[in-house]
Amino acid sequence: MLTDNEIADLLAAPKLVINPRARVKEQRGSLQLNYAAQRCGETEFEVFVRQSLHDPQGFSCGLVYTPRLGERITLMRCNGGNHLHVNSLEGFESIGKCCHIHIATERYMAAGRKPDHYAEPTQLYGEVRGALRTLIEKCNIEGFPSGNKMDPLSFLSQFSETNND
Amino acid sequence: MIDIDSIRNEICKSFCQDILIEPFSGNARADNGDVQLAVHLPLVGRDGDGIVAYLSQTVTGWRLSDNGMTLMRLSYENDLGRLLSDARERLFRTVLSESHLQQDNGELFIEVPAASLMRGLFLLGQGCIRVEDMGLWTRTKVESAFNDDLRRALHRLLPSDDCVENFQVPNVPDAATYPVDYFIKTPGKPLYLFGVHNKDRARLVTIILQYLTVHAPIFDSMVVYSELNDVPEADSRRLLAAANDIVPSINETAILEQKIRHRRAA
Repeated sequence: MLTDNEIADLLAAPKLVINPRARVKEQRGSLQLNYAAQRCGETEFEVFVRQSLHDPQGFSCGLVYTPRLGERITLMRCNGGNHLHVNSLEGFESIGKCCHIHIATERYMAAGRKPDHYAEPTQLYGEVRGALRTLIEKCNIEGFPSGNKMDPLSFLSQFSETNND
Repeated sequence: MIDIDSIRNEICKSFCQDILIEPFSGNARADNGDVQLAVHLPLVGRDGDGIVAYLSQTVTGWRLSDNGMTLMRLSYENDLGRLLSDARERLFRTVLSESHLQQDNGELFIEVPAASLMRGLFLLGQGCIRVEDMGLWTRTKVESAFNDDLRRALHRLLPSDDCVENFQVPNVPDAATYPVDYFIKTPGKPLYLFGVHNKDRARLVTIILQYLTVHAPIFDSMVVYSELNDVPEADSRRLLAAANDIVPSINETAILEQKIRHRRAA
């Protein structure tokens, strides 16, 4: 189990994507991109992008910690707003139907819940590309191609709503 | 005294209050203009995210779909190709069948008559949550469950002194590298039994059997599969050539029992 300090350190640590030209694949109703990322030369993270083919608001971009020993833990996940979310340890009320950011917490892990159960509403993005940008900024990830021609998410532009981020 | 009608009314009222319904403008890619309804159910997955049923009208009633969100959520931490293979693919099919759900390119859905809308909502919600729980069934846990099943089946059949787990054949060079899952004592040749749940395990057991055939005194061998069909045919063929006998599925306990009793009576 990770402590909140360890989670904060993992989120803040500089990370470098080592396969920036990863290709989009379509699998069972969604578009998927998977990147591997290194910290201090060790490949310890995965970055994923998911976009539903059925719903423009069905998307998620996340950072997964993949230690050599131990379980994989999703540290942060920027979700679309096509569903309600309930922080179960806080009560039964949902945070509303809005884009939200899941964050791994020591408290939820200690309670035997999924580490990234807790989520907070956000207005930082409204579509998948904004969600990835938010994840990149919050998790200190570098190595993605820059500029429109190199934009790895250009495949997803057809699913983007008005860019409100 | 408990007023059952009052409680029932309260449950119905609060249940309806917890359901959010809104129009949904259809599939982004197909763009066929179909209008659906998004029904947000008071059910959440392991990560607290709510389950949504997307409703569209059919000639006889309703089509209720998850719009592919359940499998997309599973894909965050799992490779769907690997997750929905072998034993877990069978579990996936079982869950769909028991929930009356169908799958179309990742979309889980159910079609119900107009009068069964509520039943359909519950079946879809329950099925989606059960499928989402498959993320807990890691490959290691599936393997561990098979090993537990095999151990339990053998302990039911045999006195503990007659069944030695993780056995190293005496006087075999480097025996620790070629262990036998179970040594079963018989009046004749020793019976070496192995469990096999995937192709990697099938290949390893083939190597062990071939090595023991060269280096160990004469023995009898048996392989118990988790499911024969989960192992590629070429790997099974090599294993069948190396082993004396097989039990094609751990679920076929009567066959396992009959084969072991036969050898123990010899």
